Amino acid sequence: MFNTLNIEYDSPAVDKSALSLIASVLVAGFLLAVTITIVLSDKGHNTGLAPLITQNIELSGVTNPVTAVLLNFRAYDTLLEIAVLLVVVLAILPTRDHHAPFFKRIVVSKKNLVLSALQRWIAPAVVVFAGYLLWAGAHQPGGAFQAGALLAGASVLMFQSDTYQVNYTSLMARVLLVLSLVVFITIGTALIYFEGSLLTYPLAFSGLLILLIETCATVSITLALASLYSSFIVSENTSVTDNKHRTIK
Amino acid sequence: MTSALLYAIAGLALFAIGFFGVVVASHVMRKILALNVMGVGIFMFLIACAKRNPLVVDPLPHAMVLTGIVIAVAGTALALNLMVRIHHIDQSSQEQSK
Amino acid sequence: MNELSSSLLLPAIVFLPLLAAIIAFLIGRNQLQGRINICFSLAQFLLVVLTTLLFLHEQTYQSERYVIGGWGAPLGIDLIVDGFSILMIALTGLLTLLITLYSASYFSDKYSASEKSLRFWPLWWLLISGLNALFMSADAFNIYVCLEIIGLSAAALVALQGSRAALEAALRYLLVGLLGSLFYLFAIAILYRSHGTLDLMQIAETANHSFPDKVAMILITIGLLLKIALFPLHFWLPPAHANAPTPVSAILSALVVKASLYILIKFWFDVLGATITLGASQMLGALGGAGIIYGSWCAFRATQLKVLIAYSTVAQLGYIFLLFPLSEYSMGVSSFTGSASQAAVYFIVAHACAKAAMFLAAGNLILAQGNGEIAQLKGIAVREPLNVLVFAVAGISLIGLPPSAGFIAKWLLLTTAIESGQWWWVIVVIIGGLLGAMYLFKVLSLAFSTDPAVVESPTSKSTPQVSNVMTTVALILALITLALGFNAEFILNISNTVSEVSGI
Repeated sequence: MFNTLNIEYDSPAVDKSALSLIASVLVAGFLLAVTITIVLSDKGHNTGLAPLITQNIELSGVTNPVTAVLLNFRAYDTLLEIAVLLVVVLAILPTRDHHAPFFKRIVVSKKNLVLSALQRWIAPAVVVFAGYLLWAGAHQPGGAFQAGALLAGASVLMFQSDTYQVNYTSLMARVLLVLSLVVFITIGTALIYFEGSLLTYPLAFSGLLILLIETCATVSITLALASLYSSFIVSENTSVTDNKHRTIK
Repeated sequence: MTSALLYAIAGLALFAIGFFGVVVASHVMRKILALNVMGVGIFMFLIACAKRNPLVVDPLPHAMVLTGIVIAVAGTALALNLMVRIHHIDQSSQEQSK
Repeated sequence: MNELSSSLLLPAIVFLPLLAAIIAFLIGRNQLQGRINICFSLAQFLLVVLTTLLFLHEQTYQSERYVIGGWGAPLGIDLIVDGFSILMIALTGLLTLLITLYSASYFSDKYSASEKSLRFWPLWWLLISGLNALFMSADAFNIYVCLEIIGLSAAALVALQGSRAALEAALRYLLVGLLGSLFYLFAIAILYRSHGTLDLMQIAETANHSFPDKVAMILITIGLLLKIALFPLHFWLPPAHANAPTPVSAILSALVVKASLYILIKFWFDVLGATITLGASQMLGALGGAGIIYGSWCAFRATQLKVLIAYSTVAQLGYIFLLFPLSEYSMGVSSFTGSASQAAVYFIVAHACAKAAMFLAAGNLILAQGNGEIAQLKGIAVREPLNVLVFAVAGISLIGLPPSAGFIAKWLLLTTAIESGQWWWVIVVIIGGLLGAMYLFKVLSLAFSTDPAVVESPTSKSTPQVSNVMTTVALILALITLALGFNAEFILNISNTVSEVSGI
């Protein structure tokens, strides 16, 4: 089923090999039937870990249970998850342009009215809202990933347009990309020395440390998501200019 | 039948639909989308699991879903990037043959 | 216990490669790049040796837990090591050291691959960190995250060559890997729903013959078989392993497929052991047997050197799957004990060393020859005697001739099969050995045939000389393979600890 990987624009939607089609219908149907019977039959564990989390929430430094799980009880998972994001950024980022500045402004003759209006009005509001989400994560739904996703959206609006450009392979960008992982690892291992175990926050500082980690994570996630988006745009642009180049020749 | 159960079944249905798409679709883009549908199905199942007891909400599946979403984004981005790079290679070789 | 579990060692084994990845990413391209990475690999190796010695020193061979965050099992995440995982971590440490040495020269300015080093090193260290984290994880969801780190970085490393074939192989590998992880994640969701915990030990305590557990086991098996590339699901493996840069091929064949296998063994015997049936294990064995025959046959027919070695991986994975039908089955529970598990553990170690040696030697031969056609290898033994020697030694281990690690592994497998009265697996193993001999001697006979016209061909002059470091690393791995054959008790002792631990 993965033997032919088709990337033609107007290719047939469905693999012609009927055998795999019939087989997959049967398998998917079987899977559906079986799992529905599980859901209907199984009483299972009614509350999961909810009581345990409610008991320990006082000790976690935040009042939002999801944030407590993500950044205190299961912080190790979150650390590795940031590493997953870094893997993809590493795999996708172009390897050139190390010495261009992190941020530059391009002077363009033609101004896009809608875009500049959006940049002027929407982007600051999004930034403020992202800051609020980051702060609210301690006691309400919200947190680093939501804020990072919003900020990434804002930076796509700001920096992928004609006026401003960010060089995601400059040293500054690379430092910001790994910032959250570095801070996370540093705090985690420093706590082995102070508290005796990896990522054990002292009660008095846990709220502060979580906020610090979340802020760094927001920065890194913003940059990671924006750079992932930019890699598609950049490759599009270069191919377009390449094409022009060829036609002129 | 509670609403949580309904959501769980809907999640399972999404998983099955996504799996069907992964096997049957021929275009890579469709396969990637189908994988995402499968992922969303699992996330929905997890969210429904969090609310099995109507009085208690279990935050752990929510945290698992948040982690899972970031991983899904990462995987999708890498797959799309590989697809675009193959496409560029094909394009340039076509132009050269012309 | 206390020494190991309270010390820095276990988290350090995960975090040191992460740190190496960050530094490799920050410094970028640099003359010191190779040296820095070698230093990191040495430090990593020392850490691993220290951990292994501490574990062996404890003498109790119990599984040991490291509690992260001071929360404890159901709420937080624990790290756990037992004999099997210590063995896998030690193997990872050894191969990391050797392959890093090899890569430092492979990606140096001397060869055309040097500009890829920028992307290679960070991804390489993230892959190692993911492997280490996986081998010591005690949490089902944490294992999912580790599997994704491994899968994504491995796919990115395969794509490093940038050619269309490599990109397509990487894309296929990535999609299959994502599909496999999604099956695994679904099973975890079902397990959490019925057990209310993600800790493997606690799931094992409450696991029973119930329907949800069975479905979860089926889903986990399907998902992980996709990632392991057992026979009918092997289609993605040969192109991915053949198109990757040489050091990446070596680590993919030696460790990355074994990582998923490790998780499968853990679930099959420890966590959800109550759900498996005799029929299911016989079926896995049958697939493994088919994999042996089919993989060996395809390897025999391959025209590219690396494709041949990749198909040989498919065949060798089949041998390890004979573990499932041969393991002791009593009281409806089969456990990871006895001679079958020893054979499997030994096979994993022997195959990892031999296959890494073989891929590195093949990479050297391809560099010396200029391309990977088997037919072009005629008379190469005159020019690259050491690399052909490494290839031959690794081949001897893969066929299972004495004195090599592969011989001991196969011997254990055969005696177990005869003792348990399942004689049909003996036939499969013998046929597989014969086919293995066929495809390896095909290459060797070509390499040793002297044909003056080919030896003095002008193309061989233009290709770069293979550096001594790269040959030496391959030679060391081949010697380790031989040494394991002479010194079987060392591994068997550690794997004995496995059998005592995994009763749970």
